[in-house]
Amino acid sequence: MKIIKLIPLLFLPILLSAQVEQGDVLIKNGTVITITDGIKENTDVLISNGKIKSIGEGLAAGDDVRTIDAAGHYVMPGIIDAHSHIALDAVNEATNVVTAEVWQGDALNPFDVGIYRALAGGVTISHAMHGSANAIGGQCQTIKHRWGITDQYDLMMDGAPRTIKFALGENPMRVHGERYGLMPRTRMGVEQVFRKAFSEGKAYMEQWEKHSANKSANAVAPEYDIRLETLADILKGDILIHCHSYRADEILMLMNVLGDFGVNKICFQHVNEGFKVAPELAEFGATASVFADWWAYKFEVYYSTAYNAAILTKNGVVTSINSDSGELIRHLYHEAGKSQKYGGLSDNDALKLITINPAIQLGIDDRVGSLEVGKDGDIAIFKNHPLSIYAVPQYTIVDGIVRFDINEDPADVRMDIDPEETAPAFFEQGGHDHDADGCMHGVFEQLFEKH
Amino acid sequence: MMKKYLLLIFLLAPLIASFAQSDEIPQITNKFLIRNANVIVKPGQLQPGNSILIEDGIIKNVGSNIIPPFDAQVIDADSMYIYAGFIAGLSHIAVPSKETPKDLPKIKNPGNPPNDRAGITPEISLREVMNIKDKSIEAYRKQGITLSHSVPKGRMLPGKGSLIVLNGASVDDMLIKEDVSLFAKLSGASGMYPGTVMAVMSKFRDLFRKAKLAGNHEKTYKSASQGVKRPSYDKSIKALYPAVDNQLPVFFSVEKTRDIQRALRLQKDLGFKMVPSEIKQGWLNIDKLKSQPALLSLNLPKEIKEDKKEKKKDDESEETKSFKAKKQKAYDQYVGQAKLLNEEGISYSFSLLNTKAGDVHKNLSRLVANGLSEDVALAAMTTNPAKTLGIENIAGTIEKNKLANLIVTTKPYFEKESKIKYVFVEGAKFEYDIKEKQKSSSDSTAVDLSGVYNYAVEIPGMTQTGKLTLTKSEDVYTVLVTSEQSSGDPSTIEDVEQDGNILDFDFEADAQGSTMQVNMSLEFDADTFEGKVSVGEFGTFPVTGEKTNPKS
Repeated sequence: MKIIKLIPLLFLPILLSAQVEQGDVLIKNGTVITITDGIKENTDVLISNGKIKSIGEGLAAGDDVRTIDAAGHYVMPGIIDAHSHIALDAVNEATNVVTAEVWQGDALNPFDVGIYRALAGGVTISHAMHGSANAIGGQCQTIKHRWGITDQYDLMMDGAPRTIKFALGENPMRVHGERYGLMPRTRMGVEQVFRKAFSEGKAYMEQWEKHSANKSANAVAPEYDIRLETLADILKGDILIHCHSYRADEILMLMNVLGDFGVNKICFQHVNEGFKVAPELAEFGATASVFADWWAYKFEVYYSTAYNAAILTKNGVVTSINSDSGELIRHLYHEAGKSQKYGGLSDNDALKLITINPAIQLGIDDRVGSLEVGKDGDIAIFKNHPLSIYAVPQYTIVDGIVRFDINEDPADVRMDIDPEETAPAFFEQGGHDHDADGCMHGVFEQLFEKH
Repeated sequence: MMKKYLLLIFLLAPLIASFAQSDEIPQITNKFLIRNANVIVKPGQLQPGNSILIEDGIIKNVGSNIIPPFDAQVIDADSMYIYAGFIAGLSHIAVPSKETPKDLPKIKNPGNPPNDRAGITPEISLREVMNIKDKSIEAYRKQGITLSHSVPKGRMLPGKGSLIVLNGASVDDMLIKEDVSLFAKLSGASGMYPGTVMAVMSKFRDLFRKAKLAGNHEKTYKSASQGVKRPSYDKSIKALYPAVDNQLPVFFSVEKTRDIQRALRLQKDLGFKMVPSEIKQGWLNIDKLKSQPALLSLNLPKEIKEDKKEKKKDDESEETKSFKAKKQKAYDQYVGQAKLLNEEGISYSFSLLNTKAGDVHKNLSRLVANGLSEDVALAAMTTNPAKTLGIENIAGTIEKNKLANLIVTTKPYFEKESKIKYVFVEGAKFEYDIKEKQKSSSDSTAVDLSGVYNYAVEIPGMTQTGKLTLTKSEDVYTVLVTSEQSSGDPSTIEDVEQDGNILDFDFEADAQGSTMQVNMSLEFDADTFEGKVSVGEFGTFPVTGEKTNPKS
């Protein structure tokens, strides 16, 4: 009897990490935009158990498999947003200039309607980022838009590499320098914050290496420190850096710092002056995730151009277009289209900005970002070409499960309603109506503060 | 002398409605025979015509033919019902609200505050913070709570819980088992690290791993006798050893479904013994709650009442209709959780961290009205918490040799007219006046709430404070809101709705050029209030307040 009681306990860890639902879908006769293997007319895509099983003509599946008639429609990989703050209960731990240890995975909210809105824009994956209040913010989490699930940890894309948010310039200076009178008050100070943090992380790593080599019975482990542990992981290359940045001088500064500490995995976010240092970015192997045409919301973001994405791309920098907003995320395909007006990118290069390129930046390009056999069944189906101004998303599929269907699109999709809620309609998240970028979300309490 | 007391009692009776024994009048005997009652020895087991003999705080006998000792007080309880005294699985009973000292030194670096300011005080034992004169003891006892697993108040790690009986002349007297648990929450510190839930999660991992290594260090130090670096002494880290070593269960307050998931994640990462507590939204995590005892919150959402104003509108929009249906469904899930979890085989008790004493009977009855069986409801207040807290041998049922913790009611507990006549706590008798309330307060809008209140809005990472001035003229309220954090003009609100002791109003607040819609819904209780503030798109936050100059 005792053994029987123990069995559930033994299986507990397995239950907790149970696989999330995977599905089967057959998409018939669409114009399939593969991104990596051209465009295939009148082609079927079969997703089986969450993965793309085959791409070809005349594919068949069992009667119980949902079939979508995509004749006249465009079938493309699910759109990936390398910079967003949807589905989050907290964005900024603005209390310290280095908070490498905090993790957005602990603050996910599967009930955020923003997930559904993103799906309605064909977006299947987003990078749920920490904000830019701190020079070294928290670790981010790549999530799949599995709208309908209720366990926050099931939003995580299993196996996606760890990522972390860094921030340059005015945001950390304002929050820590102006507000608290602490470092950094200047851009020079921001650099020293990185150098100090990395040096401490390095010392911590060396202490532990020394300890593991010590075979003495009386050896005492160094004091554990989750923040230094995380910084050490960055130095080891286990965590990809995504850095909020605007000015070219600061971008060069951070590449110098990283070079000094032997770190090379970095994606610059916003990077509005990236066009000035595109060859340097390419040489370092840095990537760039930009807005299509959004700037001048604060002093350091005046010098910008809508040609940024095209210039970076043509200089060999892997570039993506992101939303940083619960509103822009609904039409990233349209944002990508702007790179054709400004810079004349080809259809495929423009679509790469929202598919395979962000996948590369998140380290998940072996799984998603293009339509290839064996990749995840994450797909967006459009009426009209996705880069057309008339494009309308019809179906959005995640892991072979249709999570958005324009034909079944209820007015109120909320899943978690407060039984004491009084207002029938609500607006959960702001878009670009702030005077700053979405990265400062959660620092709103400052609004109430005396300056 | 006696006459004087009687006169006093007579004068006070209409004011305080009930009267329990006071310290000045010692109990005459410690022996009682409660005769000829319907005894519910445990949920589902009713024994009519039974008597209970109490001696020295212990149930000496339960039976039908007990001859009372000569010095016993005999209570004729014909037609009354006797239940085992209720046990609060988790509560703040006997713990006064912390007053924030006004002269606290300013934190210069909010990134690295001292532990006590950050809400990390696992070393605090209940005895250090409890007060035997705290009003909550009498308030909950009157509702039949006789024993409580009480925990300190605070943020992420407020301290250690102890078991107390709800009567006693000293702290030592009340404590029956000390330091039985570690109490944990996901609440961040105010304006300093850890401010957000993600930092709180990281801090838990940091502290538990630090404690694990520090414990090992201490063992090495002791066994080596010399030559090993002396371990540093950190009282907070040291207080975590028993939890890290799986000796002490962590009672984790996890109201919403995401809180439950987060606490389970920590448990998975750090491997401690946990009792998920104060659960309000457990139906989405049924499978994960099955492996350990759980405590459900007895705090339920307000009942949905049809708004008088809205009733007039015949042309209710589709949006409003659909919203109302969704809201009703959500409400049904909250009040149906206890029934559902029982059907799913989850054994639980109730925690009262956020349940007012006056709501205990009302909310237990609401759960029963929503399908929970009376026996399960009773078990969750008696036998189940006794088991979870490891005190089955002394509490939870009416059996010989257990603590004489009893509730005597005029009718079966769940009948509407049922009133509690006596509560026995370890043999001490408390008698309550069961006269019907006078109906003078039927016109609920007549309650005058005007005055100046200090309010505090708990926004993660920062508490917003200010003053709320309520003025009333000809039954119409005007509210003036000022903020200590904002230099803007105060907001004046004239459209204030009152429903009994609840005030509801909307206003626009100026936040550096942009306007935010703010709604406040406040429930007043004497000189204090609590409620919610909805701030535009930013969300809803709890608010509490206190009159600056209370009448009493």
